[in-house]
Amino acid sequence: MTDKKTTDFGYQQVDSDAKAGMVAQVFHSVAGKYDLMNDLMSAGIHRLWKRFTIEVSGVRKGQRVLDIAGGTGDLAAKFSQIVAADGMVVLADINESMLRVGRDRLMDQGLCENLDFVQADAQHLPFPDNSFDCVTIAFGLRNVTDKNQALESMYRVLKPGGRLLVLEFSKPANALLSKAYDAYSFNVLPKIGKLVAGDEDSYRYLAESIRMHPGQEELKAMMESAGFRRCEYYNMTGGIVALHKGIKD
Amino acid sequence: MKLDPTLQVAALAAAELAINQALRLDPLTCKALAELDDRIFAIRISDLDLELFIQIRASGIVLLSHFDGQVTTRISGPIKAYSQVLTSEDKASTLINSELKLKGNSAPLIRLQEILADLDLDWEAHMAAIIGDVPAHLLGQTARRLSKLGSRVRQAFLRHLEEYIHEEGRLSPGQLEVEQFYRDIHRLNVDTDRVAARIDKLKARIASRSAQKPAPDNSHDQH
Repeated sequence: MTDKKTTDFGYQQVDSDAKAGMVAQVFHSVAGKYDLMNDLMSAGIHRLWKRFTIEVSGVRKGQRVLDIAGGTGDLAAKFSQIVAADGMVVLADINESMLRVGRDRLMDQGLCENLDFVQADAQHLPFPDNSFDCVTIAFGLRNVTDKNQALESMYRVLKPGGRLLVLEFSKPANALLSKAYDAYSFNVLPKIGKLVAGDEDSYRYLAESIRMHPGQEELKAMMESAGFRRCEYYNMTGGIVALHKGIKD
Repeated sequence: MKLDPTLQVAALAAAELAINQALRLDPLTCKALAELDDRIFAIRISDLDLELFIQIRASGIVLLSHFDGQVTTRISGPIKAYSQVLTSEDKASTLINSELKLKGNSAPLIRLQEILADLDLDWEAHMAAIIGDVPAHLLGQTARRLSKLGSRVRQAFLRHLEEYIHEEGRLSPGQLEVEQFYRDIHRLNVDTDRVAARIDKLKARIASRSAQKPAPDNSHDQH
């Protein structure tokens, strides 16, 4: 009997090798309406979560930033303006459809001078050691097959003193809010997905993957195991989302 | 209790949007702000346990709830002290005498206050872009007339109120009366000083004459 490694795909257990392809299929399906769906699902609050991430990142003029799972480029667009002409922002995403949507959107905004677009797997980042001042991953880590490997890879590409910021759905601190959030995620969210993007299953997967993602303390411990120091997190909207920060010594 | 970052960021994002829209109506202020490019002002409201940062950029103002870098000027104090400074006519002197504590370079902060005090919004031009030149001009004209009328009514009300307090009700003396009263007191003060000086002089003269007067000679009585 072969001992095959498995991982979660929403509430299902699937072969580790198969998860990337299945996640890719979900994002190919939602890429075109990703921004609209994000606004609808979060009532626009995802923009505030991302704004806070940019504030905490402390990115300055002339720095190099890697935005992993950058999707449609919300963070990369802001970073591109902050780092200005002397800096550089790399928008990386494993999914070709998402990357294409992001690249088109940023180019339409006239942002291209200090931006690079790279199709890359977070577990095997194709960049030299110590090459970025800041690495961000917003709503992407939960889709990665091996999260520990991805965190180690991010640690490797960061310069000493560089910051990693992980913005991700987390565990609400209040039990009542948690129940309301569950009811919304499993009943309302897939229906919105069906209505707007014509894809109920993909949005059910998104809700399930959020529940399977490690909680605040667990993720902090994972970051510490990957080598990050001074790890801390900020709960936002009652803990529905948490922003984790770690420094490479 | 710390405010949820989402709420804080939402409030700051809304305020930032409103401020930058207002700044866009006054290009001169925008130009003046460029000289403070990249300066960061930290504002801490001690009784609310709230801190925010104002970053000046050539494109406008950025309001942040979190900032780890070097701050140009740091201000802290209770909300009451901020409100006193904001509503005061002479902001610079109120700032110095208030409960607010300043740390760092205060010159850029005073410059920022001067720039914002000179803010002169061109609402008419902004409205013209939305509703057209003629309606915007008519609205602007009406607003200016109403503003002038309001100012005249306010001045007349204050004048009549002053007259009533001083003349009709005799509740308080008028400014001229008070000034005359102070002048009289001053004159009395000076006169009293003079009299005191004259008395001192006379006392000194009497004392010196008594000292010079020879003692009475009693030798004739012995013969």
